[in-house]
Amino acid sequence: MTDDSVEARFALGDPHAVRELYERHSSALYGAAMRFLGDRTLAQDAVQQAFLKAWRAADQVDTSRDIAPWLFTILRNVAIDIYRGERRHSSVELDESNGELDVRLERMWAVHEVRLALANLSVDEQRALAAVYFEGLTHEQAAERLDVPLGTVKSRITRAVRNLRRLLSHLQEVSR
Amino acid sequence: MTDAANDDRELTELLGAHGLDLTDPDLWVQPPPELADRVVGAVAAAASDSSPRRWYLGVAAAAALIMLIVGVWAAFRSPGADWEIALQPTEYAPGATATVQGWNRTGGTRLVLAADGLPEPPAGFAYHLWFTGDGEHVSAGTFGAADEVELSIGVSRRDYPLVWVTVEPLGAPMPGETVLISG
Repeated sequence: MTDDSVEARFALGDPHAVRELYERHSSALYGAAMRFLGDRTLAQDAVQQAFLKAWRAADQVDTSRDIAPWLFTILRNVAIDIYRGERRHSSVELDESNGELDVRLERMWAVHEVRLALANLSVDEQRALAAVYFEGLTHEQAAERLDVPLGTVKSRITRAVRNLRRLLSHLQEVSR
Repeated sequence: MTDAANDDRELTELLGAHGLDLTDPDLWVQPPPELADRVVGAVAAAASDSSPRRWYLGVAAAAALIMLIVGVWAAFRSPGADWEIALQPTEYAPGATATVQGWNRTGGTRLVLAADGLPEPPAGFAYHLWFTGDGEHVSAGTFGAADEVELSIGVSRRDYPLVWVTVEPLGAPMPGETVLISG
């Protein structure tokens, strides 16, 4: 029996699988890169380089495991290289000797995990959360924007928050 | 405190411990749409430099006829040709080999594909030669099981480095998933 998963096809070098994998993971990786690098162009470069490195190392993928942590590790290393290469242009110097870099990397990882959790919510839940938390709309404004009753918005947000708390329980184990 | 309020409080504390809250723009920002094509294009360009081991096994309606061949840049030139790609067989057609030679011309490239051991495609299907660059596919035309066929394409391999063959229903406008030859 062949493994037709996108991860298995990616591991075989399938160029179509590259796009599928990108569609699944680029948002989380981009958000994480933005958190660490703080620059859109650098974040885009980091994501591009990460996928290229991942493809070149695709034969090392363990298709029985979640590929997200592996992709994040590649992105993390790429982002560090980009940061160090751009350090003289950076508006914020990180003192690597006192752990600032470690803190920044931990925040990068947390953003990645939250982005993955958000992607696991239903589309309705994501839109409700984005309207209220990202766009700053009131529940009434969000209901009007999404063209649903106020009660629906509230219930979607309640459900989304509950699901996020469950999906992100592992963050509690490593919180500082 | 209601369950909803409790969930909200716990999520707030959980995110806060990591310096985050749901209003953080980094949790919502999306990459620009064109980044997808840039990533796919970068991988396609890298694929043209990859070893014969790195090939894609496609799924096809007629699996027994599938031949996936990886093209590697030849360090030599055939007499008169500007470039040549040697294509390697796959497990689907282990006895088949092929080469694609190219002559750069104004406005495009003249191609000669020479295949050995390539079986007749199924009825209603044809082999199709593609050039890909930056996620864009350009057709070089269709062919059957002839030993040698002359084709042409209106682009340069420099811009479309990934060369591959699929088996498609006659008249297919875009490549499907059945990759036979890739270089």
